[in-house]
Amino acid sequence: MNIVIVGGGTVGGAICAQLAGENHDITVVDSDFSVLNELSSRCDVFGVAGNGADISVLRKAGAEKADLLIAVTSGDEINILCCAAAKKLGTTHTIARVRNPEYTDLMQLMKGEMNLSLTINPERAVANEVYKMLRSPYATKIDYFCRGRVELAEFTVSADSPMCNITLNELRNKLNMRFLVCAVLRDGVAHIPTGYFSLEEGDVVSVTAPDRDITRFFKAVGIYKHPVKDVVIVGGGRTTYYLEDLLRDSKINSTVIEADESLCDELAKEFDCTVLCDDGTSQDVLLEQGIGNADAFIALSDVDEENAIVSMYAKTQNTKKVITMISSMSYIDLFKGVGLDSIVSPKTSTASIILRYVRSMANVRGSEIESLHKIMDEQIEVLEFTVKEEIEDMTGIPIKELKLREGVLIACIVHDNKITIPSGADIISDGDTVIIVTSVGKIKGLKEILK
Amino acid sequence: MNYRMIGYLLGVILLIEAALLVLPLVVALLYGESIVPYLVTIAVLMCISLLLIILKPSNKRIYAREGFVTVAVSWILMSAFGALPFVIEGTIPNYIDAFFETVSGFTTTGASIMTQIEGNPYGILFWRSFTHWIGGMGVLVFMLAIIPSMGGQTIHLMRAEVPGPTKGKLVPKMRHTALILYGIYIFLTVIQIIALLFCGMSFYDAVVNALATAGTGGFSVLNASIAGYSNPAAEWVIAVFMFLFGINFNLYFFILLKRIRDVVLSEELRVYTLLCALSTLAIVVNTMHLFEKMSDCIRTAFFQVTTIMSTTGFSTVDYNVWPDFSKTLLVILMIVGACAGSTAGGLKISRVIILVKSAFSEIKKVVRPRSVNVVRLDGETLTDETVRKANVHLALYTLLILASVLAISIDGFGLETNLTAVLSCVNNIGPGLGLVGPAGNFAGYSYLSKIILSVNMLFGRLELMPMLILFSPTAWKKR
Repeated sequence: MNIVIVGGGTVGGAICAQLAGENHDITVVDSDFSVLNELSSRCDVFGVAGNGADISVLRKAGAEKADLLIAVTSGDEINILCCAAAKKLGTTHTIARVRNPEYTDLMQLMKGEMNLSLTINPERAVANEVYKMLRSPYATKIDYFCRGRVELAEFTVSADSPMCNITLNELRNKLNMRFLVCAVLRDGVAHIPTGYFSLEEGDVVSVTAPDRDITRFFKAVGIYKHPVKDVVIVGGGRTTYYLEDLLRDSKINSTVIEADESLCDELAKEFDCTVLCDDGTSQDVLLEQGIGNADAFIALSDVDEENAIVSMYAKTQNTKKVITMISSMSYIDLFKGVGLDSIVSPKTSTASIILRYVRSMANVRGSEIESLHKIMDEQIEVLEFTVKEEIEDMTGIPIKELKLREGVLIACIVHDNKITIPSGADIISDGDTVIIVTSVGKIKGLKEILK
Repeated sequence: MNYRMIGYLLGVILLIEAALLVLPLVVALLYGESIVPYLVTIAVLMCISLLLIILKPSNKRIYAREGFVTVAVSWILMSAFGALPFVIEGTIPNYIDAFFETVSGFTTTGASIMTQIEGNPYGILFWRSFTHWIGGMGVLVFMLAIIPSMGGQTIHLMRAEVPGPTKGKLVPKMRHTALILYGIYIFLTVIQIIALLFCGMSFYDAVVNALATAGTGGFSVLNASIAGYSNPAAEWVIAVFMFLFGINFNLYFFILLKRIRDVVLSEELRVYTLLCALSTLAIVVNTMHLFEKMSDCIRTAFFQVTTIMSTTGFSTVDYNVWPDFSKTLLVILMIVGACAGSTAGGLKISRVIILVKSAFSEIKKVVRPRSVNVVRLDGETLTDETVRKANVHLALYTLLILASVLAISIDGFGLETNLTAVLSCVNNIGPGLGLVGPAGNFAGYSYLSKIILSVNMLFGRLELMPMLILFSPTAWKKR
C-alpha cells in the first residue's frame, strides 16, 4: 500500500520502521530535516520536509494517490487538519492521533464530515489496556474477537501447573471442559498444537474457552486470580481520568493518590472514587493505603522513573498485580529487565493500534477477512470470517471430516450468537462467524483453509 | 564495522560482474574469437564471490561507514578483475596498464593507454566500452535494482555511489528508485543506438558508441575517435546524446510523471543549457577562421563543448591547435562538469551554483554583518550542511588535484600536460591538453603515475568521500 506518515517522532518512527519492513511504500512528512535524514537512513522510506497540513507538501508526499495517511504529529489540530486535507486530495483512508479529551465529542460529531477512518487517543488507549488487564488478571495478554465476545488469553505455563508434561488430549479428559489451546510459543517459535502436543514449563500458551468456562479453566489449572476489586492508582492525570471512566460501571473500588489539588478536585467531582491529595511516591502514604493488600497497584503518573520506582516498591509489598505506565519507549525493555512485567505505554499502544489497523486493511483488501490479529510474537494470525454462502466440502460437514490444511485451526464458531469451541462433531453453517488460527499466513478466504 | 556484510555485498557485486562478462563473451563468440579470457575471468570471479556469499552474515545492518567502504572497495575490486580479459587476451599485456584502462572504463573517464585501437578483437573492445555503461549508472545501483528488498539501510550504498550534492530517492522504495533509474538509462541508450543506425553506422559501432556515450565515458573503437567516421550526422546525434546524458535523471522521471513544470524550472538544467550554449557561441566566434564551412564550425564547437561538459571525452578535432581562449574555456568546463544525478563527472553544475551563491551570501554578510542570508536552489532553502559539504568538497578536490599534479610531474612532462591529465582524470573526461590531448594518450606516463591517475579517476567518480574514508583508519575499527 501507499502510506503517508505525518510526524516522524517516536510513534511515527516506530510504525514507519514496522510498515517499511512489511513491504509498504512509505513516505514520511516532518518539518525537521534531521528527523527525516535519520529515518530514511534507518529504513527504506521517502522523506518530505515540511508542514503536514500544507497542501503542497501533502501533494509532494503523494497524498493524492495514497491508500492511507497516518497523522501522528504532536499537535492534535495539525493531525485533524492534515487528515481532512489528505481526504480532500484523494487519500482513501486517514488515521489521526487526537489527544485532547476536549476534542473527543467533536471527533464523534465530525467523524462523518472529516472522513476519518480512525482516531486514536493514546491516553485512552492505555486506559483501555489497563482495564483489560484488570478484568482478567490471570492472563498476561488478552485479545478480543467477534466484537469482544470471544477472548483469547495468553499466559506462561509454570513448573507446578497441571498443564505441564501432559498431552492436550489427556488434559481435556482430566479437566472435563471445553477449551482450546490455540497456539504455543516455545523458545521463540510458535506452534499450532494438535491433541498429542505436550506442554512444557516456560511455554507461552494462548487459550480460548466459552465465557463461563474460562474462569473454570483458569481455576482448574491453578493460575486463577480473584477478580480485581480494589485498586490503588498513583497519579491523577488524563490516563487516570479515562481509566476511572471505564471503572465507573465495574465493581472495582479505586483509590487515587495525586499531589496536585486541582486534578484531585476534578477527579473527585467527576467520579465515585476515593481521591487522596498526597505524594504518591512517599513510602508512608503507600503503606497507609495498604498497597500490599490491594488487588492491583497501578502507577500512572507523568514521570516514568517515579512510576518504575513505586511499582518496584509495590512488588516488594507483594501486591498481586502491578501495572506500570512508561512513556519513553527506550525505558521499556530496561524496566522489563528488573521485573516489571505488566508495562503499558501510550506510544506502544498507539503504534500497535495503528499497525493492527494497517495490517488488517492490507490483508482485508481483496479478501473476505473481517478482522485480523497477530499473536505470539506476530508469528500466528487469528482471522475472523463470516460464512456468507454454502461452501462445498465445508458447510454442513462435521469438523473432524474436514480436510484442513496443515497449520490451520478452527478456534471458535459463533452460531446464532452462541459461542462454541468446536469439537469434532460440530459443523459450520451458513451465516456463522468463524475464527481461524493459522501459522500459514496469506489466507484470504475461508475456502483456503481446506487442502 | 560489519565486515561480513561488506564481504557479502562485495560477493554479490563480483557475481554481477561475472554475469555482465557474459555479454562480451557472446560478442566474441559471434565474431569467432577466443572466449578463453572471459571464461577464465568469469571462473575467477565466481569462485571468489561464492566464497564471500556462502558466509552469509547474520547481522545485516550497515551504516554510512559500511556503505562508503563497500562502494569504494567494490569499485577497486571490479576494476582489478575487469582488467583480466585485457591481460589474458594480450591486448594490454601489462597488468598495471590494463588496470588503468579498466578503471578509466568503469569510472567513465575514457583516458586510454592504448596507442593502437583498431584491429583488436571485437569482444575486447566491446568489454572496454561496456565498462563505461556499467560504471555510468553504477553497479551498486544495479545491484539494488535486481536484488529484492535488502532492507532500509541500502540508502547508504546509493548515497555513496550516486554523484551530486543532494541525493535522494525518487519513490519510497530503494529498489523501485534503482529500477526507474536503470529503466531511463536503458531506454535512452536504445534510442541512441537506433539514431546512430539511422546515420549509417554499423550495428557494432552504433552499440559500442552508444554504450560509451550513455556512461559519458569516451572510449571509441577507432584510433581517431568519432572523427574517424567522417559522419556529421552521427556527430550531431552523439553530441545531443552527450548533452542528454549530462542531465539529472530525476528530471526524466519528472517528465514521466508529467511534472513538466519542475523540469522547466530546474535551476541546474537552465544553467547547464545556458552554459553549454554560451560556450559553444564563444568557441564558434573564436575558431571561425579555422573552418571553411560555418556548419562544420558550429558542429565541432558544440561537439567539443558537450563532450567536455558531459565529461565524455570523445573527440572530432584536435583542439590542441585551437586558440588559447577556446582551450582555456574547455579546461574550465572540464572542472564544472554536468548535472548532479547524471552519469557525468566534474564538480557538477548544482554544486557550482551552491558554491557561487554561498560565496555571494558571505560577501553580503561582510557588508552587512547582521543580515540573515539563505542559499536557495530551485526555490528551496538549502540546509547549512549541504552548503558546508559543497565547500568541503571543493577544498578536498583542489587539494587532490594539486597533490596529484605534483606527484606526476616527476615524469618530466610539461605543466599543461600534467595539469590537464589530472583534471581530465579527476573529472572523468579522458583527453586533456598537450601530450594527453585528443590526438595523444596516457601511454607515456610511468607506472606510478598511472596508479595515481587511476586513483584520481576513482576519487572523481565516487566524489571523494568513499575513497577518502577507505584511507582513514577510524573507519576500519571494529566498532
